[in-house]
Amino acid sequence: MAGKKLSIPMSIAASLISLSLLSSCATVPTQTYLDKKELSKFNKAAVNVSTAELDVKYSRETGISAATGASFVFFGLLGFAVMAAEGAGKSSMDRDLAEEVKNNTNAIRFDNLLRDYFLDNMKKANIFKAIGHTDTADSKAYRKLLDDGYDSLIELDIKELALRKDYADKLKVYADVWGRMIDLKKGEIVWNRQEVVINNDEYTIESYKTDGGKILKESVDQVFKKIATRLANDFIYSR
Amino acid sequence: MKRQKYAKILIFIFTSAILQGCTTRTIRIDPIPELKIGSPLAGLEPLNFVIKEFEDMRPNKKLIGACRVGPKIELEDQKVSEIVVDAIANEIKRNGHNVLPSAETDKADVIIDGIVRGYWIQSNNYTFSIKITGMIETEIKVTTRQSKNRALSKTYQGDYYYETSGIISSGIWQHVINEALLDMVKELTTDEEFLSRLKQVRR
Repeated sequence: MAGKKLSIPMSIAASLISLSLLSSCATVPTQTYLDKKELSKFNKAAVNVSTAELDVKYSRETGISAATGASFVFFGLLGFAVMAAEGAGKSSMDRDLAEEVKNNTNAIRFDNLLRDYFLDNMKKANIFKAIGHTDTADSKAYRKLLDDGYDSLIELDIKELALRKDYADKLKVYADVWGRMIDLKKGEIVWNRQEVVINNDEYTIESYKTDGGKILKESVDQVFKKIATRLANDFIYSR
Repeated sequence: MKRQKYAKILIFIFTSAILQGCTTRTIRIDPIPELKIGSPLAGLEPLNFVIKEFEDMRPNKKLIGACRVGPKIELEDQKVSEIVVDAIANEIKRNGHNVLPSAETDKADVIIDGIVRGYWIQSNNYTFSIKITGMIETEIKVTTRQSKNRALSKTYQGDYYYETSGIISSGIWQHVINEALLDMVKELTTDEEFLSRLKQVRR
């Protein structure tokens, strides 16, 4: 009987551990770099930028509380339940913070910043005979782009845009962008690369919220300018 | 009973995995990381660079990182300043320029000198995740043939975050610090002021 009672928390703990271990086994997708010869085949490119919601990782990036640590020492497996509760609480606090930041920033469209910087770099370098942008990038859009004479689609996917806690009690803008180029005629990916930029400057959460999000906008602007330049450099200086 | 046995094994593995991330480690940076991306350095006419030995101004030369709870991360018999210099040299050579020995300063179009202020990996444990942060900070002085008396002196920083919810394999520490180092190299080689100095060089 005693064994049966213990088996439920044990099973929960085991499941959590298995999930945790499995999730850590995820590998970084392979990156494909541009080849100059390959690039010269394309004449008309469309750029699409998709974005994740602005996230705040402040509470989640503070250490495990002393109470949770103590619950492991004194109550063993029940510590997992306390840890899960603490994790849920922190996620909720971060969601609220993200909402507060967004509400104070007059709904700035950060994805447009990245798109404009990237297009600007590409147009200056004259990589393609023509380059434009598209708001949709599903299979129907591929067909339409082909009909409109485009032979390639460059997708910039903002996987993560977040304010993340640094060493001190301040936050930095963090952006993780995946760029890929699709040969629309063949349906092949010819360029696939990640660019992560963490802003050098850090501020308190309050600073990001004030003045209509002025600091947030400036910081994201700096980060996206760097990312757009670095990604465009792959095309401009392909070898 | 069987389920309990498996659960205990898993808990043991999990605890070991967490502890593994926080035991004393000595790492070696080999090979020196190299970028594969397009660089504006490739758009310049080939130049001769001399990169002087950087001064390491970090308070503890051997120590390069720490876990929030637990021991430290140390570098094997390598100098941080040499790793940083080699990474910069790799990027310069990859883009078609020459890196001459330090003694050939008189033949150099560009002389790069610097100070390493930071080369650090930090691991922090959060609820169900571990975040490893890599940070590099250098102060770099660039002198060109045309600007001997007005060198460009700037701080270049590189950062990288790695997040996992479980096992930290032995290569992760190197991966994090190498990515931070490459970020610093990108900061330098895409910096408009740095590039503008290089463009002004007449041979």
